[in-house]
Amino acid sequence: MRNEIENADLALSTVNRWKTSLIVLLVAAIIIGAFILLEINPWSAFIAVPEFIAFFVNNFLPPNFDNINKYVPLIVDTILFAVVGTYISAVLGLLFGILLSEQTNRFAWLRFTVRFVLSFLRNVPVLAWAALLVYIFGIGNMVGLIALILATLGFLARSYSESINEIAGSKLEALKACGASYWQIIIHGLIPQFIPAWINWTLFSFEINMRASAILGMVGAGGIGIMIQTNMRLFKYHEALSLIIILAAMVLITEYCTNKLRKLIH
Amino acid sequence: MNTTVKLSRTKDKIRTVSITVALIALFYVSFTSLDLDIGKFITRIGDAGTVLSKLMTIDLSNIGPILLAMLASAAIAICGLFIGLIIAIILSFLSASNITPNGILAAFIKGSVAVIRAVPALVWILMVVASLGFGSTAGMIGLIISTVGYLTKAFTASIEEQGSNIIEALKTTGAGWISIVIKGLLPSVIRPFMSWTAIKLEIGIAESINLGMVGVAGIGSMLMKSLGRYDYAAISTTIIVIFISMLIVEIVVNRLKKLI
Repeated sequence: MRNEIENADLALSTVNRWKTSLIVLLVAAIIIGAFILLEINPWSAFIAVPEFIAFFVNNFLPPNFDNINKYVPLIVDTILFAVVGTYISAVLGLLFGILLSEQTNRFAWLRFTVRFVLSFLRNVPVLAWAALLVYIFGIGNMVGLIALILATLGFLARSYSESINEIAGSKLEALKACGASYWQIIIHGLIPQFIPAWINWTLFSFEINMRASAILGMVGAGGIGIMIQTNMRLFKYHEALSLIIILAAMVLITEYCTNKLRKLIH
Repeated sequence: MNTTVKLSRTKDKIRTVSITVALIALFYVSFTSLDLDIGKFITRIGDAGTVLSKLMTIDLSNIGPILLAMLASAAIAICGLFIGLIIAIILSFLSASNITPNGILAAFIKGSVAVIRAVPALVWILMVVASLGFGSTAGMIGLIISTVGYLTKAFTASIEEQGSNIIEALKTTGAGWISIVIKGLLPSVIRPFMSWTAIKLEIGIAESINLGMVGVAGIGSMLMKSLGRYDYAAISTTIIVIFISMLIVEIVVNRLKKLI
């Protein structure tokens, strides 16, 4: 009896070992295939990285903050884009989150449609959206704002609907049993419970928006990104670095503030 | 006999209302100071319709090169992830507070990683392109940088979650740093490491497509070229290829996360 169990264990571990080696081989094949496809030698990275660092030290350092006054409006714009974009996508995201959750939306066809649209928004990278919108509507800051909203909406609605699914269940059933209407259930049952998750995800999307808002300019959609790129094209690396440092400081301060806010709420 | 029962207390109501008012005021101030070109935007919506209707075509004659470019974008992400992963594993064991060989080294690594993360991947790639020129190698280096930033932080947190019990136990047996790492910590952190790597793969492919939009290589640069040529069918086909590929990646990564 004991022998049989040991044999079974042995057989199982052999199968697992085979499975593991098969997966490792597959992953290795994919990685090697990727290097072959790109015709890159993996070791070239170890030559290129020091080369990049040397170039950075020689050409970018030290940063040149002389013309910074000129850029202040653009920096402020970048922050405002992130703020306004986060607001609008938080409200739209809540709406779509409610439409996406089976707890709050009983129509399967509507859920499916919303899920498809959001998945499309989420899976096309933000810069592709921005470039496409610039193409359709022409260069302008409205386009940048819409690109930001599109980019975070997909992510936010999915996160919101997952949180709604976690909350829903027995509590909302109880309200329903008391004879509460659909809107009463949403406003008095769901929303109060949902607010902590809502704030948390929205703060997270604000962090994402700060970064995205800074790069949108690179395809002509407003913000500080365009000046970073322009300065680099004109070989004004020192000036570009000063903008990059300001951008990094903005991102770090945002992270610090959102973390403080999170602690304040919990 | 009908009495109305208040659903919320007055104190809570005042708090909710004042927070809401403050949030709305912040939105209003930000929105108005942005000076959005709404007027111009609205006049263009009419033209947008014609552009959109032109985009409603698909051209499958060029699907071969488009798929190849998508593959190249994915390959850049995979190469960058692979090398970045190796660097991140080494850095995270050197900087996790419970196993670090040197406190100053740990602080230095953590600080550098915070700086790397604060600069968006696309800005890193612009700097890399400035020094190495356009091409797949520049794309790969850009992704190595963003991978190291992302994974080192995640890995360090996973290692620190393990606490110091195993480490102390192994130390008393006289095990060295490397054997503590390999035999004591690695087995318990390998699952979270794989999970984080799978998530970073998805982010990395999206980044790699974005990098293409500023001219590195891959499907992003292909999209920029078709936008420049006003080749409507190619634009929509490229977008659809991007969407389907990213959807597949998302599904595969979710499966992997559950499997792990």
